[in-house]
Amino acid sequence: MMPFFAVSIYYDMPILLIVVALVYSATRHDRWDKILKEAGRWLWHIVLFLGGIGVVLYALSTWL
Amino acid sequence: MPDVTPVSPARRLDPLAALLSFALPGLGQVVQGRIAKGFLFFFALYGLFFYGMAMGQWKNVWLPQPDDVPAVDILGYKLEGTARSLAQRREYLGQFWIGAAAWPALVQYVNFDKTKETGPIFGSFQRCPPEEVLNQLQRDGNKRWDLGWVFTVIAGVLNLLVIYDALAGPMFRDDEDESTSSPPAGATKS
Repeated sequence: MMPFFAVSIYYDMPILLIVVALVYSATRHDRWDKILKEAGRWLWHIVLFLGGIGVVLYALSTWL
Repeated sequence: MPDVTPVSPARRLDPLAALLSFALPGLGQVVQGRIAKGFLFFFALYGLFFYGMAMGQWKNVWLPQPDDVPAVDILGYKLEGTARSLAQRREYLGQFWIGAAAWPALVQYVNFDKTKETGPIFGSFQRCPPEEVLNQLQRDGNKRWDLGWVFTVIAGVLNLLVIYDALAGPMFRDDEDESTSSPPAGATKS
């Protein structure tokens, strides 16, 4: 089985998502508690969205 | 009794801070006193930009010479010069907004000399790579090379939000009562 970090997307993508969530949220608020809360919310939504697409693509590639 | 919501004072725009944040992400915020935010923007965006450059073997931020790219025709209008270069290298339209980190590409573009392998000041950094080098990178590499320029473009485009934050402050005014119906652009911290 291929080592987890042999596929770079597994560590490239989290870096991108964290930066996007943090920077976007920091442009919406000035208070750090709100920035971090909103960043966490955005991160969770993006992960869910991408995960959903991943599941759909996996299903399509496996059963079609 | 009618609900009279007090109107927040209009925000004063800060174009100098916006310009500083364009040149260096977060610098405008630091000048405004929002130091932690400024550092967050600086490290996050520069980190993302140079991480993307590293993924692309430091050869994914550049502008081609107009004579080296095919002609571009938009609605019957033939693009020439820099517009033609940008039409062929649209990635730079996003990378440009990271500010100073992408300026060497402009210096290389203006001072490009086909007879030489390096340019003034920056050597081969952000200089248009020879076609055979680009072909070899894409042929021998994996998808990470393509992902690299995407990271640099995202960093540049995110800096547009940072520039606007420096110009007009954050979207929401956290120091006001959050029960007000429409959140106007917030005041900057003094």
